[in-house]
Amino acid sequence: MTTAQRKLLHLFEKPYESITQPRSGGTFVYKLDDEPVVETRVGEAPPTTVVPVRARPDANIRNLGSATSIPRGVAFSIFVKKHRDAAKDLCDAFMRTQGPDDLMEYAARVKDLVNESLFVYALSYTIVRKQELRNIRIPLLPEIFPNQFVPQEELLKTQAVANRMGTSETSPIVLEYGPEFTGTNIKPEHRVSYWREDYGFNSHHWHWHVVFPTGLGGTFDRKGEIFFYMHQQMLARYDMERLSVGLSRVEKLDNWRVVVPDGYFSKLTVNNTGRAWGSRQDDTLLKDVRRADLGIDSLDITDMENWRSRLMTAISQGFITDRNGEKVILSDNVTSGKRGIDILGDLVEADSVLTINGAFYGDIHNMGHVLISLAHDYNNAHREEPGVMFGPSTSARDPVFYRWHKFVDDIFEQYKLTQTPYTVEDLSLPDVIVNRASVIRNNEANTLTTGFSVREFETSRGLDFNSRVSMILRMTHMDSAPFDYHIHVTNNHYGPKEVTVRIFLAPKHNEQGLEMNFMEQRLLWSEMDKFRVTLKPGANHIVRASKDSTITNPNEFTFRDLEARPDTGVEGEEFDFCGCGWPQHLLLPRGKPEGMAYQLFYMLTDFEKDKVDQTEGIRACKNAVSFCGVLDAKFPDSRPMGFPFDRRSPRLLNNTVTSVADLAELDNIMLHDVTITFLNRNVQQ
Amino acid sequence: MSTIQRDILYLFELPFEDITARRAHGSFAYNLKDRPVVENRLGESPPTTVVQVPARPDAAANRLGKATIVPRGSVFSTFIDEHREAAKDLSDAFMRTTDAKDLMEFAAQVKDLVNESLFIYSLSFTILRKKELRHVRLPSMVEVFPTRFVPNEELLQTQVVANRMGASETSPIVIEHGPDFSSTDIKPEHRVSYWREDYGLNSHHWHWHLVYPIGFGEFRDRKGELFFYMHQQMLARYDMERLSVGISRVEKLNNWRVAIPDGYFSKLTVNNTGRTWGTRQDDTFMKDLRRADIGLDNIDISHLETWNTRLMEAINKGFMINRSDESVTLSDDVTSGKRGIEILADTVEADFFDSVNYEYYGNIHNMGHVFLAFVHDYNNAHKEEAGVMAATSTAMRDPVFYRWHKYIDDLFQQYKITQPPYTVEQLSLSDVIVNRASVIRDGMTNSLTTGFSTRDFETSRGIDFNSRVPIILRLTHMDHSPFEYHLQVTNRHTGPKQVTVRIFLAPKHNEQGLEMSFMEQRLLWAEMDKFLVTLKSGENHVVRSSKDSTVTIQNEFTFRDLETRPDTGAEIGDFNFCGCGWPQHLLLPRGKSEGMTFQFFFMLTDYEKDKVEQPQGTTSTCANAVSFCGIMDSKYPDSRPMGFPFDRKSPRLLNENVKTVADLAQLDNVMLQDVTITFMNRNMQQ
Repeated sequence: MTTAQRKLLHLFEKPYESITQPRSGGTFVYKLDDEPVVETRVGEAPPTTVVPVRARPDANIRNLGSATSIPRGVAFSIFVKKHRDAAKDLCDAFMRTQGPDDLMEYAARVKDLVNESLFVYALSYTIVRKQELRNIRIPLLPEIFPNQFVPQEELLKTQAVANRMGTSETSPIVLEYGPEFTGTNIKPEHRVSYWREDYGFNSHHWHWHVVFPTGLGGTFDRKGEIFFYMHQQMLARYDMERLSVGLSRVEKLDNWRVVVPDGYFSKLTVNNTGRAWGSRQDDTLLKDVRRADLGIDSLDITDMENWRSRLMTAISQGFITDRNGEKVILSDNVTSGKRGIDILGDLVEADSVLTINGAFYGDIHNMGHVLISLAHDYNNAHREEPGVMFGPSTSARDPVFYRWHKFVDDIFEQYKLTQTPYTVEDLSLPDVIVNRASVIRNNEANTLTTGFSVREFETSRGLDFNSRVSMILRMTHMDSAPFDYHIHVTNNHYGPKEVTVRIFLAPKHNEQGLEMNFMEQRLLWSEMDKFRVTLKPGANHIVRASKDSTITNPNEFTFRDLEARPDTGVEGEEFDFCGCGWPQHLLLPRGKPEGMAYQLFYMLTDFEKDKVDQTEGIRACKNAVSFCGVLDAKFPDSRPMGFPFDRRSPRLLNNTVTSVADLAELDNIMLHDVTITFLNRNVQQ
Repeated sequence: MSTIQRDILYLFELPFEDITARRAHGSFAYNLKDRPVVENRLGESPPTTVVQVPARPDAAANRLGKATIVPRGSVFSTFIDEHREAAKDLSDAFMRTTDAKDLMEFAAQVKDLVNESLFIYSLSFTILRKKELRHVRLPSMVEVFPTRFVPNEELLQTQVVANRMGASETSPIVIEHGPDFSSTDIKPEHRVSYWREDYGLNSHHWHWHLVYPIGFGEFRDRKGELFFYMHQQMLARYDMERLSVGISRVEKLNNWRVAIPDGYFSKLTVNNTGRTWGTRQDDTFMKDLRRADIGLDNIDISHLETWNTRLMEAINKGFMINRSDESVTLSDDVTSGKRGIEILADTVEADFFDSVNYEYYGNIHNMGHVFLAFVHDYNNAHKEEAGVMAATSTAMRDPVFYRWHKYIDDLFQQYKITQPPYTVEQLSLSDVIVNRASVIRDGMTNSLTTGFSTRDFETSRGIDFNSRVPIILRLTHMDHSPFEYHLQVTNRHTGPKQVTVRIFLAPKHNEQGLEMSFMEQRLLWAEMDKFLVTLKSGENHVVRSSKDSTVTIQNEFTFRDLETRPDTGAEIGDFNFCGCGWPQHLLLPRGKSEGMTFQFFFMLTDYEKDKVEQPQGTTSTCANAVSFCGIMDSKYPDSRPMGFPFDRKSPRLLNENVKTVADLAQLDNVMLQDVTITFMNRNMQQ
């Protein structure tokens, strides 16, 4: 019997090909009962698995609303209102189906009617959201859309090899790719391209935006706040990476009237027929956008400037104004209702359903993406596709993505600075003392190493190469040797004590080689892990593997993994937000060949204060909860995200904390140095 | 098809595929003794023709000089010194082969060692140059490099169709392309894209530069002058086209310190694996070039400015300075040696061997192309390929090509203005009177029509689609209804008189709707035809078909044309410069839907004065496109300065300056006729 997983899985395969094409190396086919069977191509054996798909009168264009308004073969972006409307209509239609077979039939029937990227987005969204599909996993994005990760030129070279292949060849065709990608070292920005163009990072960003969609409705706990926090953390990690390779931290893009110095040429294609993503030359001036063809009738830079000035007014005054002209106070110290950062996050992102006053505060984050992605052809004079900034699966490749998000983050930070600093009570945990903490790798203390690994994908899942052998894409990516945290804690309580362990990493020095004060280093702290431990009374030795991090997602599934996976019940134990989560292989920053000093920050807090009451029947999410939350549940940490670094320096003993070491004076906090050395060799495990 | 034609023809097929890949729909293969034979693919029957290619130690990479220096899969540009040197080394190696078989074997062995475009360039060059290959024709560039003419996206869509095809399909796959191409009407420049992106126009430009290569050190009669004239004529025709669609004549690009308003995104790829040509955004600044990666020395805009200053100084002073610091006088009225325009053009183009002083006057025309080709990534920060301006087969697609060449032409025109106007003696032809002249189309007088036609190419000759059915590329292009010139001429000589008939076309009005002075209209006259007629004494009725024009070629050969071509001997009279020549389908400007007034200018001159003595043994006459392409190994067959009589200032007739062309037409041997060209916007296929 064909598993539900497989029935849905192959809808992700060959997104640009007709639904009737055989999949899974020719062994699987959807058989539409009212459509002619696709003839067997030369040399192909008939498929062994035939999944019948009944006619579905409900799956015709008239019932799809605006879902068909985006042409096939072009870029799809949830940053554009018109595209979001299309996505909403398709997601709603999918969500109305009942059970995997119903969804499979319905989706198979609409697949060839809608934009390919929209289809994969809406199907992923539905699988993530639908209760009864909780055990279905989504395959890795690089296998669905290899062209969004690897230049078409490279992919087509393998096509040429396949074309030349004799009938007796059986060994797969391997394409090696990375880590030297789109630019040269002439531009300093190129030094971090291995990171910006990482497949796992870009997959994560796509998945995050599937899990937290803009403007599709639905209830999401602290969605605005997590929008702020996840992107802030991306920036912290980007800056750690920049310092590792000798670049200064990223500068916000807040002057939209001067040229953008760094261009970007992705070498990627929007579809599998050679339509290139737009590119941006160095020193390009942003222009008012007139792209009715993409659903952007008119977007002026002055619109953006107005929105920014209104947002800054709200932050400075401490309240925003809703549609009725009433004040909505912005404060993170609330006992009920939304925190200020959550309101602001929804407003800035901007989610048209959640925003308090979209007409007044606008759509600044989304429209920034659009404005930048169309700088090269703002009025469609050249019929160019948008640049990679247009969509979340590709935007983080472009250096300007970080400059844009630094601007967005700066709005949030301006707000965060208005909040009262944390008190000693907020920060301390009486009678729990962290005596010592360290990280151990191969029995070495506090020296971590990074290097490269390779990962293989089957590109023939995404593109039809008309090849009888597998087309393997072997991607080189950053990686690090795994390590363990060791924390020695004394619990002076009489009984056991539940605590939350919070671990952060930051560079010890700034680009000038100076140690940083609390306020400067504040924005560089990257969350590494956050987990609950029950301390027994007396001395405790906590050991935690780096692979168990609650920000990362070690389980990425290839098509082959999922084909081989046995069917599990709806309540199968291994449910998690598959795909969403920081890539495990980017857990550590690169460091330097000669070693680079970082600081690890450990903080233990009272789980009684941290915990969040969940509705009945919700399980914790194993993976990546810090960045991705828990589906249909509340975010499982009551503290403001980024705690304790999201606010100004606190005061301890009537002294303002000047450096993080001052904060580490608290018994429940520990700070230690660690050296990260980049080995520039394969560190595959 | 002769064996030689066949064995060489297939070297042009699938340029990006291995030499051992099968060609001619799988029926033909080169069998290299030292290379494994490519196995049969599924569903293919074995080839019926296998040509044995012996090992050639002389074809090793280390014996090819600089030929391997241009990486495979990237842009090859004859505007770049190092690429020209590579082309010269490869062409020299090909030229050293002793006969067709020798060339085929040598070329087959080196094919996979050198850049694909360079290979096609050098092989084409050799076929044109080698006497024993005079009957071998080149296939159309559209079939060799379809990616130069059609966006990769459209080609790859066919790949998808081919991949999906069942085993029993036999009907060809057809890709329709054109005529609305790379941009939208938001930019006025888009209105002429159907013309700039015409396949025939771009093929012509490639062939022209193949026939007149830069820096190969080979003698070509009046090469510099023809460089000036052919490009000037392209501009005249471009401006006619612009006026037809309601935009102003092209402006020269002579300020290199301000942004270039019009960008260009070709949507084309450099090779078959999706590497796109560089693009240029609107409002891009030229930048000092730092592209050592493609063999360019650092070069600054100030270099261009310095060269421009020196060239203008030479033009204004009337002489250039050679390497020995001697003056070289510039004058078109010479009885021996090179005309001034020739010296100037060799220096401007610039040809390293023919330039008067390459170090001093620089390399302005070529480097302008290179500068413009790399504005989007002047320092290789983004690993981008060159823009289309880098290659002769693609440069004419880009609006900036015309702005650059308008600047180049302006240098030549500054010089031409210094020359003494033609005299009555030079312009007139005594005792020959043109009484009447007209053009007739379908029985209609002086009313011509334009529209569109389509032409089929087999794109699977250039790209391996792994398809068992042919993949047809159907290009829509401008076309017109053919017509005839009718001239009523009285010859008052007692005997027959040989005359040269010169026919030009220009718009009657400028963009403001005003009739133009001689000097304004001067640069718009497009040569339509030039032919020799022997007038009998008394009345003559000269009839000439538009299809016989000496600026055009009728068409290009497809692979299929050449495969089915009957065997002909090496010295068969139909040899010509296949491929070089203005495309016949662009002979007329588009005109307007409501009709647009043009003027035909007919002039008869004395063949005794025009004719050129050809060296002994020159047997091959070129049937096509002699005005733009000359005759191989022969002298250019018209002694007049190219562009005569419009290449100089207004002449004086009867002590009056000629104010308009109508004044010039007062001469008995000249006739002017208004004609209306109407754009029908429909298929004109005959």
